[in-house]
Amino acid sequence: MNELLRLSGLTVGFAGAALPVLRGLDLELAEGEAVALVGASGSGKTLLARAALGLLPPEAWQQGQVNWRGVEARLAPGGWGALRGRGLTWLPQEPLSGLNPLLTVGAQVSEAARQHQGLGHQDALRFTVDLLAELQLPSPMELLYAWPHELSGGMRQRVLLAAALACGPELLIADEPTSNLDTTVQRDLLAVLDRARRARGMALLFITHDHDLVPLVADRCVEISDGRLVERVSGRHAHEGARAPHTVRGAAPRLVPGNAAPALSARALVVRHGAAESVPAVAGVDLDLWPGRSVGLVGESAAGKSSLARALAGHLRPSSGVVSVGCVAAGSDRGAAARAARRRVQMLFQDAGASLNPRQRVGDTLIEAAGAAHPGMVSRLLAEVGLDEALAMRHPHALSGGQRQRVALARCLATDPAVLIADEPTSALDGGTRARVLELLTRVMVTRGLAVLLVTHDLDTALSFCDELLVMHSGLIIERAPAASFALLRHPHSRRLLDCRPAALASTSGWRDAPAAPAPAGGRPFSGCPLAGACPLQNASCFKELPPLAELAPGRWLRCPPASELPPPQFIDTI
Amino acid sequence: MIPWLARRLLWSLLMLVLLMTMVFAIVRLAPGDPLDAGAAESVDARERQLLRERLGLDEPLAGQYVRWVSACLRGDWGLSLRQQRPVADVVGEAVGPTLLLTLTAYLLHLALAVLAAVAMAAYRGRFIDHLVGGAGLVLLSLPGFWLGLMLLLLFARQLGWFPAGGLQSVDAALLPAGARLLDLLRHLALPAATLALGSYMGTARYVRAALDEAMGQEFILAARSRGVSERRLLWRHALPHALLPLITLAGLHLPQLLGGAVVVEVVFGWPGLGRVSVEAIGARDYPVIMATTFLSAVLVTAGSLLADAGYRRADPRVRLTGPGTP
Repeated sequence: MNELLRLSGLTVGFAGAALPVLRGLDLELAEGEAVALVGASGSGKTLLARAALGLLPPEAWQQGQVNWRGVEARLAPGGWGALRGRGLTWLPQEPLSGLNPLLTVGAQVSEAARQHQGLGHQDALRFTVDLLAELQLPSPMELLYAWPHELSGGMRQRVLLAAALACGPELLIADEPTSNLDTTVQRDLLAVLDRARRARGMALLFITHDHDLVPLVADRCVEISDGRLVERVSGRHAHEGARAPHTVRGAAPRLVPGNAAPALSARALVVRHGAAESVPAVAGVDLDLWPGRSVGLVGESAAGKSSLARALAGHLRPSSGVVSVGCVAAGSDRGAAARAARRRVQMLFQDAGASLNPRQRVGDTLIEAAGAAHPGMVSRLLAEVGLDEALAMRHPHALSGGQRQRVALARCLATDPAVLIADEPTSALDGGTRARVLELLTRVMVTRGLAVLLVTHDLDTALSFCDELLVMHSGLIIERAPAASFALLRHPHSRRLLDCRPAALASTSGWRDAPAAPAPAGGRPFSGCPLAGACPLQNASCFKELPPLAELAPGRWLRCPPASELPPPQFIDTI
Repeated sequence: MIPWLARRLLWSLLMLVLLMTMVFAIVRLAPGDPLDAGAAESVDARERQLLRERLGLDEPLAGQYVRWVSACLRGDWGLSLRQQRPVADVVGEAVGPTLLLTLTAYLLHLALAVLAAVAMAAYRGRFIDHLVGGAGLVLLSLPGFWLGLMLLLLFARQLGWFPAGGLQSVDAALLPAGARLLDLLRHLALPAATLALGSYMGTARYVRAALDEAMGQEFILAARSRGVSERRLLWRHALPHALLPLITLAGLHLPQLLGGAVVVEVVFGWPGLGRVSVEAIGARDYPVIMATTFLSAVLVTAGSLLADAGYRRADPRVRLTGPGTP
């Protein structure tokens, strides 16, 4: 095999920083080889990709060599600019910001085809249509004239992939291309990417923070740590028999619902973002949160999870339905009682950095949230979330991501809440930090008797943390089950969520055989089951009326009559 | 789009009414009246009083206002006190030249601004960046009338390339059509250049900042990694992002250009609205002042309306959102 890319002694740092980010790193990549590069955030993965492309940010400096086919890239004829595109190209992480919002899909993809395949305008468009069709994008002819904002995240990422492939590259550097996608969409994108790569004999450098993805995309895995690379054993088998999700659920006995009042309950909650006749984001949800118990709300993006969470926390006014905290209706009432009730519900956000006022010191943030300064309150709160009281004098920018999320949690606790609603609190955090924050959440929940709703698109996080699972789709709760017996989930959509987890995919053969077309953006009004039309179990009645959420067994609810008639799932548990 | 437009039109109308009322009051409350300014010294006080009564200037302000509004609604703008001609004629003759001047100047302004901005962004931090930026700043800080006079001195008097003023040559009516157009353009060149040169740098700095911001976006990095040339990145990928806000800016620039045109029209003897209103203000020619103010206000309102509508059409993201959203 011929060597394609070789980084030798690559050192990259930022002016003014004490230590370079990459410190004498070596990497070789041969023709047609697929290599996964794994590293935590801040480890310099993206910097490595940009160094290989010769596109380091201007404030970075570089030592060491980047060789392309044995020639130093900087000195190659035509320079780096001549290599980019035909030689190597890049698939960015964020599908929305990676596409130019003011150019149509066709313009962006065919541009590369014209430049690198030497095609005329018409031929380039034809080439683009073929490429979009190859990537399983629906109605590629119409897609040529679509704007990026009209597409769903999965479609955008495939369009970006098409633009990269239109260059006919020998090496594609994919920089966390799926980390902002739902697991179901991720699976299909990885399948499409893998097929396209094999059909072209293209080399791939797949950058990710997720070890579970490695066996799905790469033959070889390298891990970045301390600015250097460490070779890992053969990727495809490293994670065979994937680990069970690490459970952080405490051993403490939980209160059983029934002997107390729920801390928060919602009845027939409907939330619309637009006019009264628009498709609701939350389409009639009943929900109870009990003290000392955690409920996981899972589902794909646009399922209505965040809208539901915000309506429960009083940040969104529901179109109809009631939210009551304790026994006070909190949702739509004015007045001191409703305000006090709403204070008992606190929300923890995904981006803790953005949720903290950058000009306010940590201590002042906590005092403001509590409404009054008691002596020792700040240090007590910080100690409760495992932070040193010296941090009280800091501003948010001087904290790490994990510390910010802890400060945000302390701010929630400052109001002495009964209910904590956490909207993707850990999805911006790395594996280790994520586990520690979840452990902290568990401890706080048990000691304070908090009712917790954890909103997440990551089923593994929900499984490891929660007592009960709610699966949401199209603004409806489609299944409700104890988290411990998640393997018994029956709804076809729940099964799909389970099966698309990377850890589950790794031990499934043939997952890349039939990638589905990505769903278009925007919800559709429906009269029957929202999944009818794309469901293996559907029958005529699914199209007619919305099935009810029916109780199968104590604590197990299902909104799918065909699935409830099936025998209990008999399958080999992959977890 | 349609309800949005209707709402905007209604607001514009309300604004015009308010503005005209204010101007009506202000010009009449200001010291001096048409007779002080226009009539000869020899006219004695008794005759002045008679004239005032005949013109209705001795009535209370509210009465004059009602009379003026009802006449306007009937389409009668009155007689120019100074020229003794219908106001509609006086102002009508001036609208064409002013529109010609400001629109030409604006196109020139835009072209200069975009060229300067792209040049500065392409040579960011290098000599050309500083040169273009510095020259533009000098031009921006020169007063309009002085710049106009200097251009006149250099190009009309010293080099004789362009005529020194006016809308067209004395013998223009005798020329064939093509030559008459050329004659008009030669007369237009210096005043339009004065207006454009004195103002383009503000827009250019704006466009340049927007270009810099666009060039830092991830989609530019992605396109660059696909081997797209720097020139194409700048013109095709980044420039549209910088031009979009310019459409809105155009609505704000129109009043500025109309204001600048007043000075330039006086310097170059351009028979436009600006010159007519300056003369009318000097003579306290109330009906003409009201009409020119009204026309300028309509032009400005229409400009900002067009700019907003244009923005909604040009940005695919705004185009699709329904009415009511900005």
